[in-house]
Amino acid sequence: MNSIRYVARRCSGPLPPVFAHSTRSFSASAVLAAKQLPPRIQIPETDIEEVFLRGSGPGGQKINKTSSAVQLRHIPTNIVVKCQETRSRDQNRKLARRLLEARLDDQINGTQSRSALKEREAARKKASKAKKSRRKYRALEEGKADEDEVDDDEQKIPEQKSSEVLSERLKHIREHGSGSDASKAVDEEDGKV
Amino acid sequence: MRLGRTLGSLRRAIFSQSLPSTPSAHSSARFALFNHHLARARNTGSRVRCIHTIPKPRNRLQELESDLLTQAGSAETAKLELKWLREHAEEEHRNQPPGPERDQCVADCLKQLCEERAKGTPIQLLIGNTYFGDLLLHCAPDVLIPRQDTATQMEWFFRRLNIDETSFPSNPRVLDLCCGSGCMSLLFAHKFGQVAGNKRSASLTGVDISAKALELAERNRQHLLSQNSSRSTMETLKSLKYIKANILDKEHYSDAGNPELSTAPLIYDVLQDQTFDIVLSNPPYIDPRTELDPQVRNFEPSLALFPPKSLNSNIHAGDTFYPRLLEVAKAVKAKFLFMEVGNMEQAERVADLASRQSYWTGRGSCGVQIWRDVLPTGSSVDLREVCRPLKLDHNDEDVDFADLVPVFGAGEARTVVCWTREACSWLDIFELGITLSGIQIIGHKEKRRCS
Repeated sequence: MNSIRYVARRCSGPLPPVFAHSTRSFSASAVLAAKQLPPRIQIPETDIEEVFLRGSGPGGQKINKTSSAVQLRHIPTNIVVKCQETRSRDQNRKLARRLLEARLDDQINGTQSRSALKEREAARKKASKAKKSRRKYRALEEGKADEDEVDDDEQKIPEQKSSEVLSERLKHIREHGSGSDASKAVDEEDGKV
Repeated sequence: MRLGRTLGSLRRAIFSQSLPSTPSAHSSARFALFNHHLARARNTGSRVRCIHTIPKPRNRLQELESDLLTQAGSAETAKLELKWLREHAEEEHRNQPPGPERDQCVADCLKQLCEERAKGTPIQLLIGNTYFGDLLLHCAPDVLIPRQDTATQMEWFFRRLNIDETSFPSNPRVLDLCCGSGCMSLLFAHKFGQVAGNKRSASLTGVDISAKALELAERNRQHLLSQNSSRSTMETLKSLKYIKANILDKEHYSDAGNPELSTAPLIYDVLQDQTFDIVLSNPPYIDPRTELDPQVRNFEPSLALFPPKSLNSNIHAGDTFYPRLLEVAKAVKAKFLFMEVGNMEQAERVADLASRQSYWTGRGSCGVQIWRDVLPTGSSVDLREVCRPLKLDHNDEDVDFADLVPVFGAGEARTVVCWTREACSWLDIFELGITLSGIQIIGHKEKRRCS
């Protein structure tokens, strides 16, 4: 409870951006702190050799060049990255540095690098989502068989959480069997009453 | 989708043989390809999907990409330009409510942009802005698009500048001749604000003959003012003025057939007795006989590229402005002059003119340097070569090394800088000692007073 209150209080102002290296994730659904990524590698400027690639040929007024490619070489490891994503040389410099950090990270940390961890996390979330989705649709399929009962349930308790409805349905299926058996059981019950 | 991919590669192959890339050619090419494929499929018995059910986005992008290919020059650049144009199209329609209508507008806009680009319109004119150093400046038709080369040279100036040097004015007065879009003066304001303290500001004046250029320069000034810059930059920008004037003589433009040019006020009338510490210039310097890239020739103003023929027959074609720039700089008592040039031959001619003026005394008898495009980035600088000014025609033994013009960096020659004795401590690279035994740099870190 305390952690929920903490998150709620901090969320009263503008939400700070989610930094991977912060100690707490501020997404509303995460009551538990998200698994943190290791901090970004900081590369000192002295280890970087920067070249602005201008392309070959004349320059100045004679030609209108749009290229603002930046090439970085990490001197100790001789890793070279090139970036020309944006028209801004400044932005390209920043992006190139990010790219270099990621490459260095991959090289040094291998499977423990930030990008590898992010990939695994994304794959895990995707698998979990697919699994939940399969579970939901399977339950819906089965739930369709005893539609009448489920409808009554839903009318009586509309604010019941979907997970509770689901577990109720599952319980019902287990007790009374699936499909036609369940409806027969209902009829018998009604009949009795 | 195999069909789409095949169509795409076929299309690209066709366009690389430079068929006209007009819309009608596109659709006819598309149908030609489709018919070819249909015929082949009939022969082999494989299924062919109707052209209307080919997934649109992927092929359309490939189509647009091939539009750009001829102008961009490489597949990589074509992809990038398409990306930038697409971002621009989306940005233009960001205020529309999202949905299929907006998507259609964006798609139409992008198609139109690509068509324009295929005709050769520079991408900066399509998007409406370009980066000049750290600054994002507006671009307009009939005004020269700022080149990044110019910004790189100016940035190197600020890197070598000893901003706290006592001989460097705390509030420098700067004159930008042939200012065009105002890029040099605006970058100066921005960089000065970055390196100087908050209490200092520069006083800038920009001069150009073209009303359209002055209009754009003013627009750029307003745009920069609206951004949250340092106090020094804001002060400098507020005092920055753009003035219309003809830097050359009236006669230079008398047969241009353009009354705007022949009736423009003359530079000395406009400046009167004003003095300036620094003069910057990127004048028209291209020899009118030069073969230019069609993108530049057809979409950028010749007024900004080609100077009129000089009245002095000794002056090389393309060099018309330089004698006048040197003269004006001396008249306003400038201590530092920065002029962009097109190539090494022109740089040597300009350096020769400068050294003959006997005004740019520098440290010894000749304060002139040539800077090339790719300048050294380290803190210590070594000299690549020295260039002998053309006035010297004696033997090597008689050469006074102080008259040699040092050349820095690699690539094409880009700037000629000149300075007087008063400015000899402004930049560390002015403190050069050249000895007979070799080339040395004296006192990069040591403070030396000019003797």
